[in-house]
Amino acid sequence: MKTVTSYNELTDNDLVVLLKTGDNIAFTEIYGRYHGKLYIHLSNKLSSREDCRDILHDLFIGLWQNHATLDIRGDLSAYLYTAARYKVFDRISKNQIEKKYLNSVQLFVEKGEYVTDHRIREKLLIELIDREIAALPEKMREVFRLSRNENLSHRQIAAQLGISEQTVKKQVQNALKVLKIKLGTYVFSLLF
Amino acid sequence: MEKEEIKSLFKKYAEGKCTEEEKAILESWYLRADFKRPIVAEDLEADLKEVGGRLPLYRPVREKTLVRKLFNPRIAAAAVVLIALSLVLFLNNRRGSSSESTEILPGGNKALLTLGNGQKISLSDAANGNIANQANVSITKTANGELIYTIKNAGDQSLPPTYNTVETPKGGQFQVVLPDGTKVWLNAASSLRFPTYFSGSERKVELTGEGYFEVAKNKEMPFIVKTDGQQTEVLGTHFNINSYTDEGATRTTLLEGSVRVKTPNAVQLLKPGQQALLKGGVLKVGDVDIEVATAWKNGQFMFNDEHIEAIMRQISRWYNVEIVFAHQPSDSKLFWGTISRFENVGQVLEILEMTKSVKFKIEGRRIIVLN
Repeated sequence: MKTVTSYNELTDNDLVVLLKTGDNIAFTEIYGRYHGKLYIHLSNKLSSREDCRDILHDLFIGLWQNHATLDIRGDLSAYLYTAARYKVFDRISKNQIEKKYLNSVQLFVEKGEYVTDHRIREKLLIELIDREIAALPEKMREVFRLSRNENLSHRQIAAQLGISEQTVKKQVQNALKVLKIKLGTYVFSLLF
Repeated sequence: MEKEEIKSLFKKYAEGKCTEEEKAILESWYLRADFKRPIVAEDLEADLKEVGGRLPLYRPVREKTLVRKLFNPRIAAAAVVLIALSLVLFLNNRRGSSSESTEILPGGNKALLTLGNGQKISLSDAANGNIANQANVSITKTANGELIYTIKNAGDQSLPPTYNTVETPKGGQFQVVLPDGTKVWLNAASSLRFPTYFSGSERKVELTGEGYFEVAKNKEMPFIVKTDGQQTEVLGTHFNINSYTDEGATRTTLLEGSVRVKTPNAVQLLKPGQQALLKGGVLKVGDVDIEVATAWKNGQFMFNDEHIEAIMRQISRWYNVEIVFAHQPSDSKLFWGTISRFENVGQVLEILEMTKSVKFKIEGRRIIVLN
């Protein structure tokens, strides 16, 4: 007999396999692991609470309704976070609130510090979301403590992507220079 | 890249029509973009609950869950936190309580304006609209608590500027728009002294207490804020200065732009996210959580591992109450949390009491901190 408590010991990949069979408990466990991180992350991009709630809902309802045909290659977190990113851009263009972001993008384009490798951007997105959570007060994090963290070192990223550790280091250093300003040295030294 | 081009980029991304380069630009920007809105724990809990309610989540039959969950310490701990948060939500929604503590109301838009000729105008009592005219400047008070200075004949600056002071009492706050368009939010028990128009090579104002500044850009005339023992030179930017005498230090936090902090012995240039701390004549720079430093301006108290004495000083200034400590508080007790500034003091203290680390007794306008 399935017990609710044993699901939190399964890996994300195991949960995805179960989810695809229509396992509702697996779906609930996935929601529990990621709803907090995603909500916080969405709040850092969109100022409307309603937009954040809607996107959070859309992400998970889509996961459930399409469980049979899901094609998640790689990490579940990467899948969810990139889906969230897509929905943020979608909402920005649908609500026609680009105006709010134009200055920021323009400034960024002038500086030209792009991360050209999309796989690295994906990894950085995962790390960013984890850091956003790490930067919250302890008690707030406890609200969704069911989430798991996979803190990948540069070496592990390099091994996974089949590129040199140097390349990862350089790309990360360039792009993270600007993130450092926002997140603060303290959090940084914890993770690197 | 032109604004129109950027605008269409968002649409292209959503339609899956971006080139690899365009994706690199948008996604790299996305990693850096931070439009953080402050999150209150109760709101977080409410929103997550609302979304969860609309999803087909597994909801086992009550009794079975209770028994199982009791035996899993991790879930039990999370449940306790959730219950505590729901209690906070419940307590915050209670209105019309008859207890004494709810009589102490939060601060509001209150201030006193002193003109150059000594005339004093109470900004809380004054009607909205034009409240004074000095030389060629008209002073208007708006409905949403702003004081706006408008130069009537911009060209005619033959008369020297006079100095005005806006002072907020304990329990007051006010926003001023200076003659150059600079916006200043004044926290409780603070004051700002400034000329009715800016001329010459610099724009200089004097601050006591705490103020948040959004300085209008003017490269030819740097904006200088003078506080006790320090001058902050600004070139078009957003920053906060906390310089209450009873805090024992001046904290200058930069959000955007660039700022130069000068003391008689030192000069420091700040970058966004940094804070200059002036204590005992020594100036140090470090990184901080800018949300905590400017929470007051966004209508909140935000404590990130704060000592109870510092928390009570903030409460004293905003609610205009006296604080008495029954025992010397322990140094190791640090508090976190975000609470709206617009609750009555009773509700704020109730939330602090939920940590079980402190208890309060209210006697009239005096708050006694028990352990």
